[in-house]
Amino acid sequence: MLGPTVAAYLVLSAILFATGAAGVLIRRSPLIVLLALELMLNAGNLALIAFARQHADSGGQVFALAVMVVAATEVVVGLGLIVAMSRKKVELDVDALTELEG
Amino acid sequence: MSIDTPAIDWAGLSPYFALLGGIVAALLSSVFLRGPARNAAGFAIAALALLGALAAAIALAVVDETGSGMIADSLRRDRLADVAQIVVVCAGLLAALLFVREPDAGERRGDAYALLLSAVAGMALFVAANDLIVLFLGLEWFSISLYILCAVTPERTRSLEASLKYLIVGGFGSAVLLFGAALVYGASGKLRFAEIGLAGPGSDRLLLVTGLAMLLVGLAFKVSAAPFHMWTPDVYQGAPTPVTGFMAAATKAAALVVALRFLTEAFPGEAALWTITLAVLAVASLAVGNLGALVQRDLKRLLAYSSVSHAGFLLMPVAAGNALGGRALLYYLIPYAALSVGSFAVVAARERELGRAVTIDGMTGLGWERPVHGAAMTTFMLGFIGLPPTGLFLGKFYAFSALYERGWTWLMIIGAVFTAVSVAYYLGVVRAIYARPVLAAAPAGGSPPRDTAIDVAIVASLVIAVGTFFGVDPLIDVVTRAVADLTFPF
Amino acid sequence: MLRLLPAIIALGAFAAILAGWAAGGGAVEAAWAPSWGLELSFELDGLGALYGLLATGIGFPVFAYAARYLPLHLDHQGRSHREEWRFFGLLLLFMVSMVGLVTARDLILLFVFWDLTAVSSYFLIGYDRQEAEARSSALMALLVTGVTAVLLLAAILLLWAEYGTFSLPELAARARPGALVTGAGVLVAIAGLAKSAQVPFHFWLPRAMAAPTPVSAYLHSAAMVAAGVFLLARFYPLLALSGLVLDLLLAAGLASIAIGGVLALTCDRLKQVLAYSTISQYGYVATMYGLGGGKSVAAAAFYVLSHALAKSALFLTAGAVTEATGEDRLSRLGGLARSMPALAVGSGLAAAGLAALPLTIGFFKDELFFAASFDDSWPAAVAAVAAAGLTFAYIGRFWLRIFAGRRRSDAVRLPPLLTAPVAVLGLAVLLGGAFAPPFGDLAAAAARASAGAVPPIEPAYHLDARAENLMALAAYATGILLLAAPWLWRRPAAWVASTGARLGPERAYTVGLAGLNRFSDAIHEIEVRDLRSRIAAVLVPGGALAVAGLAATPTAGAYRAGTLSTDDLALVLTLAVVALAAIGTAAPRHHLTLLLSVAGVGFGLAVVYALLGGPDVALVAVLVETVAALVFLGVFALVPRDVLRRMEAIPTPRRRRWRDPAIGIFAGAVVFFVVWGALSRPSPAAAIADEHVRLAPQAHAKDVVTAILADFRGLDTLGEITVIAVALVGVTTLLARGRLR
Repeated sequence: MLGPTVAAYLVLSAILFATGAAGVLIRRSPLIVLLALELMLNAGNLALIAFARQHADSGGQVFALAVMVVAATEVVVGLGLIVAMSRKKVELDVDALTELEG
Repeated sequence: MSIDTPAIDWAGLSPYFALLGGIVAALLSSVFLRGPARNAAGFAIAALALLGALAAAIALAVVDETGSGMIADSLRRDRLADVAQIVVVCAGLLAALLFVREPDAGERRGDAYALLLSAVAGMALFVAANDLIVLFLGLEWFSISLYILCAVTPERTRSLEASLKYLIVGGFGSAVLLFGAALVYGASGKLRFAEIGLAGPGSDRLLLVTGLAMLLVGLAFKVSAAPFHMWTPDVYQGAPTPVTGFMAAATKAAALVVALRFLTEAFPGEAALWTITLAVLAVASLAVGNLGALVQRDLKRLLAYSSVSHAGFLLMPVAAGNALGGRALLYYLIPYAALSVGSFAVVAARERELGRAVTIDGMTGLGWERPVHGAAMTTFMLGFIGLPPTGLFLGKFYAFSALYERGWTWLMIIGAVFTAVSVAYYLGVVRAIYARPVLAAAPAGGSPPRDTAIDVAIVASLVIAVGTFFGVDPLIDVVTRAVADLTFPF
Repeated sequence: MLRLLPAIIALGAFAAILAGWAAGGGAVEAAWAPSWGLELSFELDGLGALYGLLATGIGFPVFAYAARYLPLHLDHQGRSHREEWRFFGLLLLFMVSMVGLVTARDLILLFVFWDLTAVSSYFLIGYDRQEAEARSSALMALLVTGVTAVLLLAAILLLWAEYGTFSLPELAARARPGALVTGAGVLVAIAGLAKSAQVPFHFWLPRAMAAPTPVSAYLHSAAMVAAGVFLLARFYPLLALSGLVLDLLLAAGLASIAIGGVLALTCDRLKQVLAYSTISQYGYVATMYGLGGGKSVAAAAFYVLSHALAKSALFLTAGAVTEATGEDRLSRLGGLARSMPALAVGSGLAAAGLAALPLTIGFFKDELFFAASFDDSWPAAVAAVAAAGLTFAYIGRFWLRIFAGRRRSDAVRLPPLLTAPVAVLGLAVLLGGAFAPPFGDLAAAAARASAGAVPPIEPAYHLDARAENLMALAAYATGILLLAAPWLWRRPAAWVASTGARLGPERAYTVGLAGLNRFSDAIHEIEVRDLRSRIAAVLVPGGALAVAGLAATPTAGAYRAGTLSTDDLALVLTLAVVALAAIGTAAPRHHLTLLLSVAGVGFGLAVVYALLGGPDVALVAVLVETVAALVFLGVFALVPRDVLRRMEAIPTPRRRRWRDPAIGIFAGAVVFFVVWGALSRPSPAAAIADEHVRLAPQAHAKDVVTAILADFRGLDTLGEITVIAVALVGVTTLLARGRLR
């Protein structure tokens, strides 16, 4: 049960993390960047759950639950910002946010 | 039939109760009140809650002889947490004063106070964290509050832009930190700091070290140490000035105290590794912060780079990894926090006077028009350099002696060299303050009404900054007791 | 008159120090930070008395002069008289910090006052703040002295780290020769030389002439510049432990004498002549400390005393002359002796003192200097004569050009308060020549504080052919020759001046500052490129480090794929699907497709959680994922259609299309290998974990969510609820105003 399977979860988690990181780095739409952030946090969750299983310890599951809620909150705040910006008719392109480069 | 109820440490939790009560009250008042009453009530509630938390934290700092765990040992109640909470709460109080007349916030000031209280509460939790869950939760709690606080003046596009940038980069940092925490958990099977430390030798070193590195990166984002500082200039410049002042002082203090506790307790076995990593981060921050600050024209951006460079100075004592370093960190933090809030307070006052963002040229003549603000800003700038009469002089000195004890003279020398570089841009500000006012720079919208709250904040910061220079001994006593419970690797 | 109050205060302080000194000195101590051994500790010893008396005693006439000068100065510039109080306040602060500096016995205290003199001088030099030149000169002075002050602090820290004390007397008793003392000595010497405007740090002083005249007079005689040599005197017991440091002082001193003297000879502006003369004169003092030995140290102390008296009078003269005629160049002045005889006599005495003519106190300063150099070696003696001749020439030129010869400009009558101080100081120079012994005693006492046992200074005139007298005569002859035959030196001196301007340290300062700015600009350029390039810039070195770490770890038994059992098939399939979905999220452009694929990843993960034995976690995950997806959908509905479409149409920049995925894949691959390497290696932890898994049904709680609600995790739940509440408030705040358009 252990060996390859735990490694497999972690490999998947690493893939998720890398995909998320790449998304944050590549995509220019802030909406997609938020989705990518969500992926990265999910990667952490998967690793936590897998390790919780490996160590037979409930701590990791609790941690994952906390992360889920917090991640969702973070995304909601980000979405709120995006809506506020679209109201202010700010260009919604991460690369175009350059008003601040004094 | 009675059930077993857990023993609750009411006294130890009192600062949190004060802050949480304040949040609830502030939220309710912003729901039910309108107009000026809303702002007044918001400020009154925030001030009361913060003063209550301050009193509770001070009382705890007096009473706590030895540390103890709270709530199933997931929170620490000890002097380190108490002192850090005092610093954070004081920064919050000063920031609340700055909000009183923040013109852009308008009706939303009531919400701003609730958010400020929430950020303070998150930091209070963060600095007392004793396991990885509370660490992450506290970090996200105050970060999310700050993301929103940055955008609390949504009429300014800049604020929104800063907030979104902060959220993206901060979220990235949190994700890295989370993954690191997961790896550390995977390596040791433990979440509590001390247990991770005990499990150290039996755990998988590769996972543990990778996790440690990712956790360090996550914390470095919050400390704004180079090369993880990239959000700092944009966010400091774009956020409303009271928020910037609060972030500069409190976020850094909280993240560093947590780093100190976390690294010494959870990774005593990897001390050689994390001390040298922190030393490298410190050097990078010193270089980037000081050299970057040289060309800045916008004052808030300049102060942002200055804060990056001070992240370097603050990391040096932690990197020393000895008890002297722990004490030095706390000693440095107190005047540093006062200088940060104070200088942003002066910027905020000037900003309202000019009705636009303050550049260095915008400070021209401040010393003649507003002698108290000018003298205070001059003191703050000299203080940032590390010149008397502010406590940062002794803090720097303390940090250097910690490095000397560790035998890292090279880092001392680098620190001294960059201190010399920093003289140039801080004095540039002083020079502008005492230059003759150019007519074109005269207030655009006329003189704003006298703002007593901001004056109080400036004078209070000044008193703390200068007071830590003269009250050396009591302060040393406080910081020595604060880190007495930690075991340092060197 | 209220304006005379500062002068009266200075006089009172002078009297107090004199009385204290007559009563045998004394010490004051108060605890400051006992745990660091810091004390507020002051002592009035010989050295402190000498410099303290100078600071207050010269302060008195200078402040009196300023009381009359400043209103005129402000009138010329059309400034309000209300600015006077700042000036006098700063002058007094300057005096107090000088007195504090010279009496401080604790090194940290000494550093504090050292800094205070720098800061107050900054404000005084830049007092004419409407002039850009005054401001940049002030900044230059502060930068040069401030940066070197950091070196002083470094030296103090080094000494403290080694010997564990901040107390100067204890330090002097404990210090032993060695690399550390030499290093600290070099740092102290640099700080002192920079403050005393010695070559190669001298360039700030002529620029600092932008200050109002009383400031220059005070700065150059009794404060600021004197503080530099005072530091050398204070630290002399430590400096003398290292031959290298003394040689450094000697070299800087000789260079300053030569360069300062030559430039003083060529300058045309009154105050510039005096500024270069100051550099040259303090060069003598540095030279004498460099020569070392009790005799030289005593001579140095006496030199500082007599120079300060004469130089302050000359500066005040320059200010008075400019005030009367409106001219500040030697070439436009002349023949003023008749219209202002008192000034001519007073400054004549001072100039004679500087030129070391007999019957002035200056005669003895040169006599002592000659004696010290004669004792050292014959090249030193020759250099001393040449230097004295140079001094004689430039100061003679200065006085003669102003007061003798043809009149070139009109002069208005000067108020007595602008002349009297010069006369008083001139008389003091004469008095010192007539009754030298008390001055000699003071200087000897000061020297004892630096160098321990010192032969007493017995200034007296000897009408015989001893070496000192012959050297003095030779110096006078050289000086007269230089004065009489300017064609001899005009060309080489002009060459020195132009070379200095082209290659000198001032140019290094400007070029260095500009270079620093350019470098900083370059950093700025890198910094303000877009945010994500910077994140990427962090990831690559981080990944490289991790690869290096991997390469360094033992790989025995790692990277085995292991075997799959059929029980795990469902799980493996789900994992594969999630992995594919995750990779798929990188591609789509359409928001909705992307959202669905991310949600697919989320739901897939929920299945994985369920299979992994966390059905409760899985349920929460499904819930959160659904809510999040719905919120996203809501936002898609809220944001105007055309905005969304525009966002979808944003092309990925060409350079990024390959670079960033490559970076992402690289980072992912690194994590992959870390995890694989770590987990497939047989480790004791895995064995323990096996045991845990076997025991899981007994140990493992059945329902984590219940456990959380009932268990201690109430705290985390509370935290989450607060975070959600805060986020809600925030979002409502953000969206409170206005409707969508």
